[in-house]
Amino acid sequence: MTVAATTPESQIELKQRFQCLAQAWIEQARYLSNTAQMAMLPSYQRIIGMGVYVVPFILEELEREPRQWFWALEAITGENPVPPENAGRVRESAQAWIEWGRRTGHRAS
Amino acid sequence: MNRNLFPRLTQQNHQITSPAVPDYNCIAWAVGDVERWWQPGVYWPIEIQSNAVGVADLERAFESLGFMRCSGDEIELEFEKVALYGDSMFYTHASRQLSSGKWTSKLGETEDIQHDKAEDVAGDIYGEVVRFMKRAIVSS
Repeated sequence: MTVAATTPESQIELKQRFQCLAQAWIEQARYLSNTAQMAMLPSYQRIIGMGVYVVPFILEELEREPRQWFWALEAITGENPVPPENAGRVRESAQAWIEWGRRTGHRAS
Repeated sequence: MNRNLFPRLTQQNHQITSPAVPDYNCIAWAVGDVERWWQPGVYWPIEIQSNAVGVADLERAFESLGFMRCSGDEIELEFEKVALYGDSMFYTHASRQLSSGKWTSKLGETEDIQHDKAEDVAGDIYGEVVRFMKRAIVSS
């Protein structure tokens, strides 16, 4: 998958928009346990709708604090780099996605 | 704790019993797993579609672990009990009865709490208790 270039200004705007939506989602999803319910929240859906441009921001967020971003990453990229033996293990899943990001150029090494 | 989301929790009927960690959710905690976040299509005790996220789907998962429906939350010494919560669309939560008769819940990615009654965490984001289930305690 190639990431289309965006201008620095639009990158900043995208990141600000992502951070705003991510903060709202974290607040709304904090007490939820059903990932489907978490993923149906409007803020999460809007993040998915921003497409491949937000993948680096999600990976950055995952690196900062592992949480349920996997649904969004899979929906946006069509990938799932988490090995079966680590399914459900949040920290290991986050690490698998971060390494995937480095391999594919979505995350700086 | 956002009391608006837990209108039945009071300072008297619950206490926080763990730090907040993102590693496991309430479904895992209900069966004593603190290493995985249980979710259909990701990690689940039975083969199931990832969009099978209703109360009946959760009940089937607990059945696969040896639980069966029961009538209520009274203590039965030979059984462990769980309460399942939900709304019209999603299962929302599960809690587990302790030997004291009180209940323990993992609240999303936040803390575990101990609460007096299963219903104490219901009433808003978790909907209501929709099922009690029990399974025999196997002595080791």
